Amino acid sequence: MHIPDGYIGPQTYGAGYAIMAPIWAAASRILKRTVSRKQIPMLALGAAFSFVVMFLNVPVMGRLTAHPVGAGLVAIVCGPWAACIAISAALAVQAVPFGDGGITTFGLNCLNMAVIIPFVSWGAWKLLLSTKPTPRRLWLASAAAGYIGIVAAAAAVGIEVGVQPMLSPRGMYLPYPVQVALPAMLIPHLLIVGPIEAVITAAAISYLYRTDPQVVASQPISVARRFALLALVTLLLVPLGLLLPNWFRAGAAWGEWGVDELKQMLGYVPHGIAQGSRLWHAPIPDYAVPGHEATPVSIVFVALAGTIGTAAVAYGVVRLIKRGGKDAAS
Amino acid sequence: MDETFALDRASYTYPGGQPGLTDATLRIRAGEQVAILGANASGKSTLLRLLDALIFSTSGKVSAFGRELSEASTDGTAFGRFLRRQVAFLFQNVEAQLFCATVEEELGFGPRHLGVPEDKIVERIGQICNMFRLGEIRRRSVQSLSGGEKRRVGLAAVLAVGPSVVLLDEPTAGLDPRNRALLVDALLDLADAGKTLVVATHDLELASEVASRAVVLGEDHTIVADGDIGPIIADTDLLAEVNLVHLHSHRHWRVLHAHPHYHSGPHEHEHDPGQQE
Amino acid sequence: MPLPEWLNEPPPPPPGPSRRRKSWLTTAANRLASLPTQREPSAALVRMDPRAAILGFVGLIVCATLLRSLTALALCWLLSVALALAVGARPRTLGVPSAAAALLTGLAMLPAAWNGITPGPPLVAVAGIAVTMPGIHLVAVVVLRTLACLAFGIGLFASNRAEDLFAALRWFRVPSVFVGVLLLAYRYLLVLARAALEVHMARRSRVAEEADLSGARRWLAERIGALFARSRELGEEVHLAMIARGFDNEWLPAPYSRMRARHVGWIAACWAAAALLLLVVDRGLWT
Repeated sequence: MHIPDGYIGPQTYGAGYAIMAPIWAAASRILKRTVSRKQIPMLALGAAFSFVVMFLNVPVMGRLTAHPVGAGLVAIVCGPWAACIAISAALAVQAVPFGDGGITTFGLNCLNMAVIIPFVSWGAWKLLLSTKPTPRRLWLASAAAGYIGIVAAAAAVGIEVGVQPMLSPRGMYLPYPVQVALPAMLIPHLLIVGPIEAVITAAAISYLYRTDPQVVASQPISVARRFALLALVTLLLVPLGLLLPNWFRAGAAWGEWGVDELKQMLGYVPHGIAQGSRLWHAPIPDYAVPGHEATPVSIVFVALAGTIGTAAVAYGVVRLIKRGGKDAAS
Repeated sequence: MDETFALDRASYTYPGGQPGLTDATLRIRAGEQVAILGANASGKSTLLRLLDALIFSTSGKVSAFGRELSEASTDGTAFGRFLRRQVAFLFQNVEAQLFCATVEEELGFGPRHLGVPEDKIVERIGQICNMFRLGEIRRRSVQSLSGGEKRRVGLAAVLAVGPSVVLLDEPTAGLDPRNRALLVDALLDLADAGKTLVVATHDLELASEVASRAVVLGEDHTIVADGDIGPIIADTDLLAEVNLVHLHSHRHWRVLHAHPHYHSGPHEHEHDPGQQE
Repeated sequence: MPLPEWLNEPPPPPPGPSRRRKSWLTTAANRLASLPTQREPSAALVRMDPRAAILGFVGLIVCATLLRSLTALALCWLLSVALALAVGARPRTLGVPSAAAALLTGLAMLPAAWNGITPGPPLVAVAGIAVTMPGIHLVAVVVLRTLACLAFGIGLFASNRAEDLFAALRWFRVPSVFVGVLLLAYRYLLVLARAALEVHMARRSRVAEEADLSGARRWLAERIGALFARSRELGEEVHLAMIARGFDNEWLPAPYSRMRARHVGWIAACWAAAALLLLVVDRGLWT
């Protein structure tokens, strides 16, 4: 997961530092408020712990071993902001005396391992867990958090590497476009590294919970915040839904071809499909504002409107059912 | 003599519910050398931490230099800074004690954070290195030091602020004979200079070497004895009761002996003709 | 106290020689044990001001990341090796990671030599798969660049102790909280690593062959949990030790001495070399 020096261009590694600087500043400010004098020694020991975890070998198969990252674990126990600083320090210690990781790429490595993994893992854990979890639920939530966090970071690395040909065509950096880099990063993390991280995170959290439940005590997260978190995640993923088909030149989703597309593909339109297409004319076809072509902005706008509409209908239905239940009871 | 520390029915319970110290009443005067004796987990470390305002009593009162110790009176206050300058604490865990990169930085940490001017710090570091024979290892990293060197550096570092009181938690634990002797000599020098010493230990030999008074903690975390050290150390029944000595039995041919025994001091005893197999 | 029968049994005869199967525990324990103890600086090392080392070497690393031509990168790599050795890096410390980096980067870049990734005049073509000249050129560029950056990095780390480099970050206005965390983290990572190593060795002394890998993973994960608990306890104790000596949330470093003329000269020389490589050799300005 570490990107060494020399692989990526200055626009990308410069952007890494530019993104991380305010995040480090924010983390430091937030922690100063909440942790005060204990901040430095506790974060330092967290960093030392993270370093040692990243140094360990986990048996995978035969003699094959993998290195856990442990960032999700630190985030679940200490919170994402503390994990951000602790993991950043661990990466700095890795880079300086042990020469593992890069100096120009330090910002980007921190973005991937000290921001994406902790925040995604912590967010997933918060969403999946209630205040008094059963051991099984705790295990599953921790495993899912560890898995999702590291896969998200792997995807980020794939994108950062994959945009090099676009950003620096003459710069002679890693030449693999997103279509190649993203699957190359995702597949091993989805199949091997992710499950290892999931098991390590889950078993470590379960062990800590058994010895001292307070260590992983979860503050209740209100329904509104849960919804807001889900909405934020969806919002962040939406651009991917627009960009990925472009990058992979995927065209329309399989099986969702319109009449025009079918005619282009097959040379004719099957009779039944032609008849069916005359039954209903969508008011907002192809996510375009009526009378205009579909653009990324119109797609987002229309999708938002559709989401709000669906949520309103669902809310109305639930209210009706509840009211019906109350009437039946009385 | 002025009273330096006063405990009035002070108790401390750890957050998990385990008792640390129970109902302790104690006075320590300036210039006294006191040994806090007790077995493991009897409350010795807890007592020292209460005296240094690192933790605060859950009931009762702890005072130092005439002021009650509480978070309000010590956190970020002028009295708090005064306390840090006057009271030095040598931790049992030497790894926690030494947290700087090099010996020199370790020696300078306390004075620097207590506002001592930089030129004075440099002077003090030089003097304390001479006192504790740290000249050769002054620029070395802490990680590379041996156990004995770490203990010496730890004591030098806490003394660098110029305290009037030194609290020591098991200072000779894990030391070889030479380093132990060096440490004891240093403590005797401090005692001669009129420093108040409070040494928490279960090493009875150390206690009798450096202290004139002993406070004994029982396994129930209460003070069970407080007085001159000679009679307390001689009271083997008391020491056996609080697990500072153990009952030792062995055979001389057919004669079986059982008697209280502690491992420091000569192994001499009378043969009781009545104790036969 | 009479011993049970199985404790009283005499030892069986030792087995004959057999094929060695290195277990993951041995690998893990060796890896933990290989964490270097701090090497004390030689007289050469203490001469290099850490701020000058950072400015000089990081400037050269940034330069290396901007170079595109093979000539410039080859010269840059030679400079990096020379500098690293000059400031005291041992040949093995330089050679082993460089070989590993060359191999790994070469393997990662190999597909780039194929005409599907880097089109151009083919050098070798087999069954429709062609290795192109631009592709080979690109592989060489990235490998050389990686090696140069690595060697400059090794030179930086060899020029000063890690703690001195971290402490010097304050001079660059890195907030004291970060520097304090870094310094303490470095101080305690070997303490925790030793704890982890002891646990591995304890298991190794009781387990001949690991039959159940998932059980081993679970054991390791629980040890990681225990290590975390221990790191928190140690953190609490260190915190008490710090406030007992007057620490009040602001890590105050020892003041810096003024940089000597030869250190400023070193920085200037590094940046001049970087400018020469980038602007003259690589970009061809003024030629």
